[in-house]
Amino acid sequence: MAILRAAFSAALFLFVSLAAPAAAQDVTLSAKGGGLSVSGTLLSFDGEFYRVQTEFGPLVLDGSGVDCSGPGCPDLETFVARITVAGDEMLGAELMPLLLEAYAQERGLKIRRIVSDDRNFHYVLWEEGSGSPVAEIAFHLGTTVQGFGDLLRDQADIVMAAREMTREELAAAREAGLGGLKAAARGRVIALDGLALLVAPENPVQGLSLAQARAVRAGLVANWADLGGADAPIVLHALAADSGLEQAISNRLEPLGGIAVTRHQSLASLADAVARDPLALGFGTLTEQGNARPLDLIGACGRAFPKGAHAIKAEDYPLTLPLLLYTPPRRLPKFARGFLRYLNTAPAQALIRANGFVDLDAERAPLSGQGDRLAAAILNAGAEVPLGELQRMVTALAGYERLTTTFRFETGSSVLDAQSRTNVLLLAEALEAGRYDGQTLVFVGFSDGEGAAATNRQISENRARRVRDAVRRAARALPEGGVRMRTEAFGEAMPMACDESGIGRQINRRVEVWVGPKMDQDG
Amino acid sequence: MASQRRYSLIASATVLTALLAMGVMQSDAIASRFVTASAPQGATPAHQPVETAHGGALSVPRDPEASVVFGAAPLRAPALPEGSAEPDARRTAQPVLSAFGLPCTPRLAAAPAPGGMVAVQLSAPCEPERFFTLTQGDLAFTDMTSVTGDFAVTLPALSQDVALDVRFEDGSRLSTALRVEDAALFDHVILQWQGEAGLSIHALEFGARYGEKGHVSAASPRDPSFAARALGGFITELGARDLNHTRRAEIYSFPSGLMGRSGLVRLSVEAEVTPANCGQDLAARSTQIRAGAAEPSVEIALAMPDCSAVGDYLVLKNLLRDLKIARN
Repeated sequence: MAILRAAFSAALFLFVSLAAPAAAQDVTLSAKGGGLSVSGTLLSFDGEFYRVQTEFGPLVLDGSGVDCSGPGCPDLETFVARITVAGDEMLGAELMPLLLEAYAQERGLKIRRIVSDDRNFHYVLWEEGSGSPVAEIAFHLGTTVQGFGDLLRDQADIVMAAREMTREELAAAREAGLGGLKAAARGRVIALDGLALLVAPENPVQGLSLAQARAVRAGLVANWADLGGADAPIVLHALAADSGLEQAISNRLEPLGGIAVTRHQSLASLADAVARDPLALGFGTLTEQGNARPLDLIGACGRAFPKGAHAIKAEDYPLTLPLLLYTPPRRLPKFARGFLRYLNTAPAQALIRANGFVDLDAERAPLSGQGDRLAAAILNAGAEVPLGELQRMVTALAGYERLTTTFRFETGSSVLDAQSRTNVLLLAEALEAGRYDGQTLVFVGFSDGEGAAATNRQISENRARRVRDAVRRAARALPEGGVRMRTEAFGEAMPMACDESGIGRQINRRVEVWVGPKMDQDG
Repeated sequence: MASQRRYSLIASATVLTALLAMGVMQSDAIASRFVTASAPQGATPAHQPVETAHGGALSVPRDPEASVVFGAAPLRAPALPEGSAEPDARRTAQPVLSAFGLPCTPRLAAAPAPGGMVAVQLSAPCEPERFFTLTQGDLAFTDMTSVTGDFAVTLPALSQDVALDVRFEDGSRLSTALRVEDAALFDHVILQWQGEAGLSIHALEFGARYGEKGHVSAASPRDPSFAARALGGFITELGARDLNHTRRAEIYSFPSGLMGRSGLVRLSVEAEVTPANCGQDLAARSTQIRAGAAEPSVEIALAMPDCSAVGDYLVLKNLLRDLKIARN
C-alpha cells in the first residue's frame, strides 16, 4: 500500500503535465491487501515495474506491491525485455550493434539478428538451452532528429545522437513531460569523434584554417587556388541537411550558403565520393574518413591544431564531436540498464577504440610532453603575463601529469559542455574506484586573452573551483581525504589556440586536471 | 611443419561398440574384405595377410546399407608413419581394403600454405562419396569425398593454432592440429549458411566501385597469392554447391598486417531473392576475426522481400563491419 501510494504520488509529480488520452482500460492494478486500485492501458512492464497510462497520465507502479488483473496483464513467467534503440546512423550502423553483441556474449547469451534492411533490424537474445528469449532489442536507424522525435513520443528506450539537444528541442521535451533530459545521466557521451574536412588523398592542400572552412561553407571561397591548391572549382560534399552531424557542423562552423553541394545520406557515401574526386571537399568525420584524407585544421596564428585520440579526448582539437545516448526519464528495463552500465567498462571502451572512435578513458601526459604549449606560453609572455607568472606555473606543475580529462564551457556561459559533463561523472567514478588514491589532483583554470590579465586569472580560478566542487559532489563514495584536490589558476598564461577566433577563445577557456605523484605534500 | 601432422581416430559410442565386435572377429584372424554397395562394378578386392597389431578397436565408419563380404585371405594393415599418431590414439590394424584395394585407414593431414592458408588432405578410401563436415573453430562446412574417398581443400587459418575436425554422418571423426605463424596478419569475414541461399560477400577495396579491379566477390575471388603479396584480399568458398542442406561458407580474407597503406575496405552482403526464399527468413551466421581475435558470432535471419521481387538482390551494407586498415 505504502509502495503503491509512494509510486503513485511520485509519478503524478513527474507526469502531471502530460495530457491523458482516452484509452482502453486493459489492466487494473490493485494494491496487495486491497484498497487503492488503478486502471489503464499497460505501456510497459520491465519485469519489476508496471507503467500504466491512466486518466492521471502515465504511472509507474512497483510490481511487488500490486496484483494485476485484466486482459493486458503481462505473463510474469515468460517476461521478455523489449527495448527500442533509435536515432543516428553514425552510432547505429556499426558501433551500437557491436557493443550489444559483445554485452550479450559477456552475459553468455546467444545472439540472433533479424534483418529487414540496413536501417531496421532487431536482436533476439536467449540463454543457451532455453526456448524463450531474455530480451528483444529493435534498432531503427535514421537521423538524430528522428531519434529525438521518438524520444518525445516515448517510442524509444535509447536514442543515439550525433549532437546535443537544442534549446528548442529541450523546450519541446519539457512540453511533452520529459523534464530534466539534459541531466548528464539522460544525455550521456559514449564515444568521441571529430568533425573533419575531407579531401582525396592526391589533393595537394594540407590544411585549412577555420576561417577558410567557414568562408567555403558560406560560399565566399569557391576555388582551390584561394586555399593554396590548383586553379579549379571546389566540389562540395555534405550530409543531408537534417542529419545531426551536418547540424553540428553548421553550429560549429557556418551553415552552408546557397551554393552547389552534393548531399549524402551516409558518411560512407560521402567519404567514398570525396576519395574519388581530387577537387572534392567533404564535411565528414575523422572516424568515417574511409579512403579520403582529413585536412589539418590551422589555428588563427598559423599553428595546426593537434588531432588524434589524445587531442580529441582533451577537446584540444577544435571540432570534437561527442556522440551521445539519451534515455527517457523513466525506469528502463533491467536489461537496458545493464547494457548502459556495460558501455562504461574497460572491454566496451576497448571495442569503441577498435572501431576507430575515440573512447573516454583518461590518458596522461607529463609536462615535458607539452613543449608546443610551453613554447606558445613563452611567446605569449609580456606585460600582461610576466615571466614570473610562467615560472610559477612551471614550478606548480613540475612532476605532474595532465589528464586528457578537460572541462570546457558552452559558448558565452559558465555551463559545462556535453563532453565535460560526462567527464565529471567519469572522473568521479574513477575517484570512487580508487584510481587516484593517495595522489593529488590539481584543477588548473585557464582563460582566453580577452580583457585584463588579473580579471582573467580570477575568472579561471572561479571555474577551477566550480569544476572541483562538481567532481567532489559527484564522487559521493569517495572518503574524505582519500585524494587531495586543490585548484590553481593561470588565466591566459598557456593558450592552446590563438585568441583571434571565437573557437580559439573557447578552446582556451578551460579547466585542466593534473595528477601529482603519490604522497605529494605541496599546496 | 609436416612432421607435426597427426591424426586421431575417434568414434562415437555406438559405432565403437559395433566395431569392437568386429575387432573380436579380426583377432580370430578371420580374413575379411568388404565391398560397399556403391562400389563400382568389377572392382577386384585385394588379398593380403592380416597383421593383428595393437589389438585396438577398428573405427572405420560403416554405411549400414553396405554389404560386407568376408573373403578368404587375411589383410595387411599399412604401417603407420613414425610418430604420426597421437600417443593415446588407438593404433589399429586396418584389416579391410577399399573397393579400389586401398587400405581403409582414414587420414587427415594439414600443412600451412601461402597467404595464411592451410592445405587440408582428407583420405578415407572406405568412405567414397560420403558427406562430412569440416570444422575449424566457428567455421563448419559440409562436403563430399570423391569416388576414391579423397578430398582436398585450402582454407584460411582463422588463428595461429588451428584445430581441424572432420566428422562423417555416422559420427566417426578425424582431427588434426597445426600452427600457422602468419595467421595473425589476416583479418577474416565469414558468412555461413545452409543449402542454396544465394548469399555472397562483396568487398570494395580502397574506394573501388562495383566491377572495378578492387571489387572482390565470388564472381572475381582472386586467390591467396594475391594476399601473400600484400595486394589485397580474396574470397574462399567452402562447402558443396548445388546440394540442399549442406553447410556452406564464404570467407573474405584480407592481409591487414602486411599492407603498406591505410584505408578502408567496404563490406556488404548480397542475397538473391529466389522462388525458394522469397517472403521467408534466410538463416545465416556471420563472424568477423580481426588480427586473430574473433568478435562474437551472430546468427542472422534475413527477412527476404516477397515473391514479386524474385530476381532482385537484397543488399545489406551494415551487416558486416567495414575493415579499417592502418598502415604497418
